[in-house]
Amino acid sequence: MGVSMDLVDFIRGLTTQIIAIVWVVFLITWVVGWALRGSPIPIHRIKRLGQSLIEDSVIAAFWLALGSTVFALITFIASNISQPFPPPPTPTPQP
Amino acid sequence: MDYLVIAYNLALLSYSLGVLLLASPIPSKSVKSWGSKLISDSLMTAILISSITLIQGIGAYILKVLNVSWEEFFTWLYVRTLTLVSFYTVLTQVASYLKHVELSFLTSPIGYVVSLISLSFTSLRTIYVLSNVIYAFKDKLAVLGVLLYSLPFRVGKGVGSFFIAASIVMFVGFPLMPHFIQSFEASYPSKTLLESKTITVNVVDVNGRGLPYPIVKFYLVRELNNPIGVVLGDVEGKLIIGDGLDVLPKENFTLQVQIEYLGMSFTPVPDYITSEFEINTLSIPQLLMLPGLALLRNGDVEFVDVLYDYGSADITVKAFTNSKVTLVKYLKTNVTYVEVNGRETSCIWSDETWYGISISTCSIELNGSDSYTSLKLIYTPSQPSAPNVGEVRLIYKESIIDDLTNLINVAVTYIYTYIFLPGVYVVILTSMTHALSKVLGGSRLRLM
Repeated sequence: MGVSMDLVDFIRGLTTQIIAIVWVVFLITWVVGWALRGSPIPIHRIKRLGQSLIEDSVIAAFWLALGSTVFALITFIASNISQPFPPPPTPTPQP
Repeated sequence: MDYLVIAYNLALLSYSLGVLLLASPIPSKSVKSWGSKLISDSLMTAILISSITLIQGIGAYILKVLNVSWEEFFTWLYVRTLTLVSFYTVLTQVASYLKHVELSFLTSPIGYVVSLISLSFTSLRTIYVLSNVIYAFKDKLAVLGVLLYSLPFRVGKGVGSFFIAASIVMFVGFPLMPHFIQSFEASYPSKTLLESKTITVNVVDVNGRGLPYPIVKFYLVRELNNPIGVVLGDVEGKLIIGDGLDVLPKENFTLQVQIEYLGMSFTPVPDYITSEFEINTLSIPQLLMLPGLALLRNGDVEFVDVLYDYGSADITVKAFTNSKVTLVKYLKTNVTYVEVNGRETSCIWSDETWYGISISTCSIELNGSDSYTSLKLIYTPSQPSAPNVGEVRLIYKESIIDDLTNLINVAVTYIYTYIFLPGVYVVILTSMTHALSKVLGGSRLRLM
């Protein structure tokens, strides 16, 4: 029990750290994206890269913000589906 | 449930990892797609964790609906094992019997069948182990599958989904195995091979007294040239054919017989044995047995009455003029006095040898003027001894061919029902498990 709880705590800690890192990375990506997009370099590919970086970071931020909600929703729906089964129909003898 | 907590947290971890990859400023398509893969996997894991009771319960529900149970399956398996064990035992016995009958060429197909049966044992044991593992660890298998499924970066996704699928498919599939196999089983191996007929033959004289050590020759009906069997009776005139010593026809049969006794050949009444009766009594009406000697009558003489006290015999016969009886004795039997109708009669003995036994014969004139003649003998009896004859046990060739055909049938049936069918079934189950595991792990949500 102790070992598995330690493991769970470790995983939770890891998750928390990663989420903190993700926010930082999101900010960096967003900033880099806007920087590339708004840069005075007249190369269309770089502008497009900046654009896609902005999009990706926003989508990532969206999923990150929604993460706990999505999990809670799945747990709620799946738990409601996996209710105990009704008893199976028993064949009644035909007259 | 402990594992489920770990799995849930692992799912959260892989979700955040997925988002991290998605949010990273690395402009690489594969990194981004790994991010979305991780997110979808973690969501799928969350669904699986939440519906673990559904996964664990669906097998039992399907079994209930199909009205089959694991208890029936284990009973079926047990009965099958018992059948196999009993057949194995019987075959080993048959093989050891056949060594007596000098049918060594039959022991090699039997050995082949025995090796097939041991192969079937291996296959049964595999089913035992597999089904027991599934039955005992079904729930744990599902939880372990979910845990493996939840590992980030798809490390255990394939194995995990296979475990989850196995916990459902195998749990439902194994109890259905008897129904599957029974629907394909044409027939059970015939038991005729294992039945060995036993016929007791009693050889008796006119008064129903057993002839010591008669030689009984058996002939196929209407083929009285060469006997298919020569069997020596015991001291009471009893002999047993079949019982593993002879190969007898499978169906009902009749064999003609001739009896040799003390240098004479007789056609008994009846002159055949039949498998319809377990005990066949063959009587020789021409012969009257006394301890240590025998009286052989001619055609017109009839034995009426015998009074025997140790070493003294009073015999009443119905005879006519010039009727004769022949006295046959072992050499050691010492006849001291012969009397016909109150008058002493001399007996001229002539010695003979019959299969290594010394015997003496003498012909007695009865002079039966009136119909009833009395004959008195005083003698010292001796113990009967067995003739030194080479026995030829009965071997019915068609029966051997039948046995071989049966053995081949049995071998094929056993390969089919004990090795081939369960093997095919386990393969079907495995492929179904694989298919379900593809459903669980193969599909992924498209997030981008």
